[in-house]
Amino acid sequence: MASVAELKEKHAAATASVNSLRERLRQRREMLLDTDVARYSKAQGRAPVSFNPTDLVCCRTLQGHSGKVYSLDWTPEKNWIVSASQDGRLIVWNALTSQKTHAIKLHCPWVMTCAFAPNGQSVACGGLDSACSIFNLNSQADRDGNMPVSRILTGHKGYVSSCQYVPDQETRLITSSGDQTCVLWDVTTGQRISIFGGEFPSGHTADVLSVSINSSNTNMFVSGSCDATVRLWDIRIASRAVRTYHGHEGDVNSVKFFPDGHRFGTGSDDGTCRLFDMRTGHQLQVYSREPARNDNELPTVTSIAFSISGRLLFAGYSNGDCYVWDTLLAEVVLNLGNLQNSHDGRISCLGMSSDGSALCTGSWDKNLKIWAFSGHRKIV
Amino acid sequence: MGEEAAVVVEPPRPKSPPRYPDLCGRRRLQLELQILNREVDFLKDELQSLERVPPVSRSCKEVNEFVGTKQDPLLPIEKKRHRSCRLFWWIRSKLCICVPWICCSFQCLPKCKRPSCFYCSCCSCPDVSCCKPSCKSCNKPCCGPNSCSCCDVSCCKPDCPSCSPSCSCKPSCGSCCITLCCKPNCGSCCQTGCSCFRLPSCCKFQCSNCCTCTLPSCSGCNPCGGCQGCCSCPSDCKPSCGYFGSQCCSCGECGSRTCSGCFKSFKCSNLFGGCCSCKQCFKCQSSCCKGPPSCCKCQSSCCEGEDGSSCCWRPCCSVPKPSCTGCSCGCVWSCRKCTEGCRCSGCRNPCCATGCLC
Repeated sequence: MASVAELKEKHAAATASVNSLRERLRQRREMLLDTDVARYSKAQGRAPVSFNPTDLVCCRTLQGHSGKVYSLDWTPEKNWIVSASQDGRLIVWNALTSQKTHAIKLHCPWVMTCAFAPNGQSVACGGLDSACSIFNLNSQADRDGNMPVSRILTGHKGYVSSCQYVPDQETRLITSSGDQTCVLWDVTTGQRISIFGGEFPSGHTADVLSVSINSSNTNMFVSGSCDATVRLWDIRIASRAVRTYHGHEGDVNSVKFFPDGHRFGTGSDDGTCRLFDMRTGHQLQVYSREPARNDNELPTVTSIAFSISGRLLFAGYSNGDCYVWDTLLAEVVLNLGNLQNSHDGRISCLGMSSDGSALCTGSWDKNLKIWAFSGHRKIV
Repeated sequence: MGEEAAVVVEPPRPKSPPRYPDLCGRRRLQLELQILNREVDFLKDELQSLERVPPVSRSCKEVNEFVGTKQDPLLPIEKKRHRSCRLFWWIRSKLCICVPWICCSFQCLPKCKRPSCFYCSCCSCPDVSCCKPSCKSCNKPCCGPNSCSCCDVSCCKPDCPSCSPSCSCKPSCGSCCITLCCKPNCGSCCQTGCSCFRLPSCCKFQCSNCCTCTLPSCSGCNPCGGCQGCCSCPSDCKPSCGYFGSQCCSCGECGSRTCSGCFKSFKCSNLFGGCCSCKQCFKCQSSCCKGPPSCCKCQSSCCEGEDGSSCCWRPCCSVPKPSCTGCSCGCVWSCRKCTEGCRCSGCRNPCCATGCLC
């Protein structure tokens, strides 16, 4: 049996190997970095996106939460939204009419994430109770008017930061957690099907903050973490991440797949959004704001969403800005935070409706807002 | 019968447990070494696979080809530039001047970008987003060629008594002072001792007043779990509140008699000695539901001709509706009469199922 001294020597050698290989990988990737999306698009003569001040407007304000809004999700089919707030409630809204259809009081008010099931009949939420609660919207309320929990998914050893149902599967859900893992659940039985990460299988080395499932290939999902990396997972192989994406210099707060299913975007505490290629691992573009003035800290990116065509990248920031980036030219074409009726606080969550016609933003100002293209559009 | 000799069977003597050396350090090292060796293998595989990976330009090409294949309801219509505008642009590009009244009146300047404000001393563009700080109602020209700050104090937010150049009007600051540490979740800024440095991960989401969040980072810190030496529980924790018993408070506006988050039809009942919670009064929202009112299910507008005795739960797009002309598509959000969206079978764009023709 090797002595402790020998083990320490091997440990140091292995660490040096890892660092050297990472450096070689970085250099090799740099050699392959012959351009980025913006330079390529400009060289192709791409015309910029141009918004008039009244093109995108806030057409609905959903008021009703009495605490900061932390998370929101749209239904895949109808224009319904579920939102989670620090007031300890989930509210389900008909976004078109602004009516509330359900208000669900939660056992633990420290909710951080919520998600709609694909059929729109259930919602899931999770937070500092380290569990994911499932509510069936068709359930009868109890005597006190509270909606009963239909299932509680327990097993995480840390807070649940994000959850998403696997598209077209009512019974599968993926969560991310402060315990550095992601978990695939069977909602019907409440069992964990797979655990991604953890101490031995190489996974994230810090809290995982966000997940996004590839709607084009639902076996694949990405997770963003406080370890400043994004990892790609195959739900059939929990033993290791398929790929790790480096580049960010701070917590990766939000990840979202690009509509083509081969790329994904990220938003981070380092104030930038980035676009990565899932298959090659390349960083295709960095979307960064101008440097902060007056020594103020650069606002962090809290959440992102792509428009249905992929041309627009919406990014919510901690200072209330909501930049609309031209994905191809890496330019800011609009700031929803400057428009009339914009939020008065940090944008904490964003979501695009399934038909791409509206963006919903949630904020620490307790409101949600729906943004859409105003006026008529002629089909060309 | 003779006495049999007693057979003495020695009772089993279990061995004393061996003395194991303290393997904690060794076991940990072995595990870490295993992880590192795996990582080395993964990295070598990745390095090898990079030999076959095309350069970034190929992915950029794919992205460019993809964008534009799907119609995007949020993208503006491309405007054709009029000849007079083209001429103006050409002249402007040569002379590098900014003549606001011309460009604004012809709307030739699609957007007053900051670089043009930099050169325009009085860029009075209709798009005020070029002015800094953000002034929603800033109808005044940007003052100063470089800073482009608003001279009209009323456009600073919140109301700044004096709009000095260094005034960094943060939305959450009660008074507009120069506060480097103002974070959105600082209850009161403008404190000289305010040290909002990087928040530990547990404070990231839960601390309502994180100006002095000096506690160590607690992964999975859960105030509802009685955490020790970690981010402490909110000061207004009350016993018998919520899921975790005496550790934490789950009542939103404890002590308040009104529930601002309640629906109009909801009632407030006082629970837990002063904590307000909303009781749901279920009523059928839809007029099309025949029979006794049941829990709020009939949210969808009912389809014409359908039996309203069951709740109208299905989308109504299958019912014949006014034809979806080009101009009605996309009016889902702008038309207040629209209560349900669907996809136009013709143009595949979001349309209004209730036949709202804007």
